[in-house]
Amino acid sequence: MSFLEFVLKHHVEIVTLSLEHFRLVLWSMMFSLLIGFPLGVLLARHSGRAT
Amino acid sequence: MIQTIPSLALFGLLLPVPWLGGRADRLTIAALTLYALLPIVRNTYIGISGVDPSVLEVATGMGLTEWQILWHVQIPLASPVILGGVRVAAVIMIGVATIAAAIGAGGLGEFIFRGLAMVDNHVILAGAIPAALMALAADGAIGVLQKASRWASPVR
Repeated sequence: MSFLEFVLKHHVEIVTLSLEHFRLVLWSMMFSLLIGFPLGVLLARHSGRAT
Repeated sequence: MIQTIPSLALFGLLLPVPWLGGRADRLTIAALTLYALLPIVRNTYIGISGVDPSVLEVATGMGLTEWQILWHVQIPLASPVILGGVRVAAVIMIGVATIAAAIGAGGLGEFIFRGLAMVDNHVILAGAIPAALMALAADGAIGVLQKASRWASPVR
């Protein structure tokens, strides 16, 4: 079986797993932005005051 | 420091954590969040602290408060650098998320691990190619945003 045939046969599973993968990344990105962005701003302002 | 821990080991280390360890998707989200923190925090810090001091002096002279300077001057000027961090974080997360299949969280890593077990390149590629395409798409999309933010920033 060629790769293309494999993809055509399993396209539903590939799409489902891709969406699952995307969902995991999206939630993680949201949480890392919620924590990382204010933390970076705080550190920059704190170090700015210290100098 | 989190980045120095191998991703598979981090998934294993988080398994005994009470609330996280119970569900594979929660654990994966926690691990990916920890991995993405460094580029986001570092680039935000560099972007904000790298704003030209003379621009800040002008803003202070215009009577802007500290928060107004942050929201209207520093963040817009730092946004291309901050988005650069988000771009790196997104690519790292898409890659590391494939390892989440090892703890049963699903995702494209399922094909990769299944292919490794079956010694079948077609199955490995069915997981690896969409993951690579997703990383390229995220990199491209955030790159466009980064360029747009550079053009939209008040001082170029």
